[in-house]
Amino acid sequence: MNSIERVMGTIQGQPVDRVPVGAVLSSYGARLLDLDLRVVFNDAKTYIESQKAVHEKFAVDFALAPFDYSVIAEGFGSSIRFFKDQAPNIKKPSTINWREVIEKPFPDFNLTGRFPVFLEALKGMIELFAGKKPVFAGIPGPCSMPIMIMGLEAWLETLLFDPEGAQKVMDYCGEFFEIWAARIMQEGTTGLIVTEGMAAREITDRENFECLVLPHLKKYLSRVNAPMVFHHTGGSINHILDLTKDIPGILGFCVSAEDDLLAARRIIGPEKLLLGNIDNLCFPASGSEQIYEQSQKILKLMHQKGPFILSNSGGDLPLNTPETNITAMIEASEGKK
Amino acid sequence: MRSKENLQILFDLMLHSERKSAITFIEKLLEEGFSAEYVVRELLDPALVRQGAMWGEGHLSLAQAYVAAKIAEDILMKCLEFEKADDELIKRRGIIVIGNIEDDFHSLGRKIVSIFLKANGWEIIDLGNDVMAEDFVEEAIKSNSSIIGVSAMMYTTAQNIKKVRAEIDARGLQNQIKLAVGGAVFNGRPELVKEVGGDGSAKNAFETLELMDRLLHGCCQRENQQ
Repeated sequence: MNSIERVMGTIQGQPVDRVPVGAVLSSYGARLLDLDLRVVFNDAKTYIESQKAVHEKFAVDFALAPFDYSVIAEGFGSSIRFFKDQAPNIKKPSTINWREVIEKPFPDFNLTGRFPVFLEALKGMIELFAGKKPVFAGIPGPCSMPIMIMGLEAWLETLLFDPEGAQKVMDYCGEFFEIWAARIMQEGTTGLIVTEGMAAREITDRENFECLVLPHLKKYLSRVNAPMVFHHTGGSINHILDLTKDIPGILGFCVSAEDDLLAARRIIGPEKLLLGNIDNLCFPASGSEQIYEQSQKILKLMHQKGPFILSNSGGDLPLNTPETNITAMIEASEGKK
Repeated sequence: MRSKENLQILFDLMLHSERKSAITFIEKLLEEGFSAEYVVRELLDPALVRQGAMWGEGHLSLAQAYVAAKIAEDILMKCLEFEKADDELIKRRGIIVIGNIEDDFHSLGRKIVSIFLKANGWEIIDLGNDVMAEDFVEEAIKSNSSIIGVSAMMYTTAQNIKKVRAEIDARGLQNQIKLAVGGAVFNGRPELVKEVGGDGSAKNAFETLELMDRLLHGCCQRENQQ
């Protein structure tokens, strides 16, 4: 059974040879090949080479397009800082005025900034793993897309205190989300990992989520014709799983290390996919035996409790994560010691 | 008895993000004859302390904390306006130089901290994002500040805080200037505070109030001993 059969079988609730395992390793190839991440995230060929190295080294069951949202931020005019050893970051948002946000033309995916680089990398990944591994792409959820353009603070200010502005920004960003998601899927991507930061308990409590975020989330996610994994974005999401589990297109949830996996399973029911949930912070800080034991504990906990993929919970694994720790997670899934 | 009721009302309004209702409630109290000092000391401070405890336990979201900070700012401005900017109402505790360390651009936490500290009588000099170590120390010397507060969200950028520690130590200012560090990465890895040379840290904006008092007290004690 290869990775694509294993992952798709798991999603469809069919018997598989073992629990699939995955990790966000979009940056990690730079460590393996001693590359500068400023090059990796600016050159599609280098990204593909780095991912080839990742997948030769680690038998993870899915591949990822560049996990780099600064592409979107840059496309809307935000300034970006690149780093040698971490993914690019937004230096300054394009504007903090919602009226200016909604006047901006959408980026041209064939011409603007690094959108062509992203798409070339995605295409290369799909070719590289055709018939072998599913390829997913991350996309900010429609309600956190405004952060790419106006920054978190201005977006929170608008969302919480300016209903008219919030509605207009959400409509604008929702439309962009829909178009960008469709463009990613057009390349033959297996599915989307939707990271909706505004769903995290640490960012938005249930009351504000239900009132300010959920209606827009439902509206725009249901317009996307793609299988989607709803991702925790670094915060807990168990508190809103009951509100989001039935949104069309969502095939599963990646919950945080803070979320209780069994509780998540109870809430979403026996059929939806669940991913998780070893804390990213554990990977560089723990020994391989600890990662192995933690992986085993999770696998035991989730055994025969519905479709499950063992994975890290967070964004890209830090580059200072020892290779043996990633291998330990995979070996736990393979039943090796 | 009335204070307890008023505190509960304000607390609930803050918790449910009712910014307009909160300020209307405070205006009404001031019009009824309650003093601005009463509002700040008996209502706002305790409400913030209770919210801080909730945040510490993970029961408060960033959105709620953001609204709470805005409400605190609104109330403070209203009280100052009411008391004609009586400086005694807002006890001047000292000056703090804050900023996000070199290569770090996650400013929201820093801004919430800034609002809370201002509301509690601190003068804040905010240097913004991506601040070099020497700029923190230069500004602290220039403004006669006893505390530098440095924020970082990620492990990689937190490492740059070591340069601030080195700058303070190289100038022999370790007894005059205390280094407060904070940001998401420190909550997940508390051992990092020592690793980067911080004199203290707080898990959230509410706890920062106590931290700054403690650090200032440490500085004052040393100055008195010298």
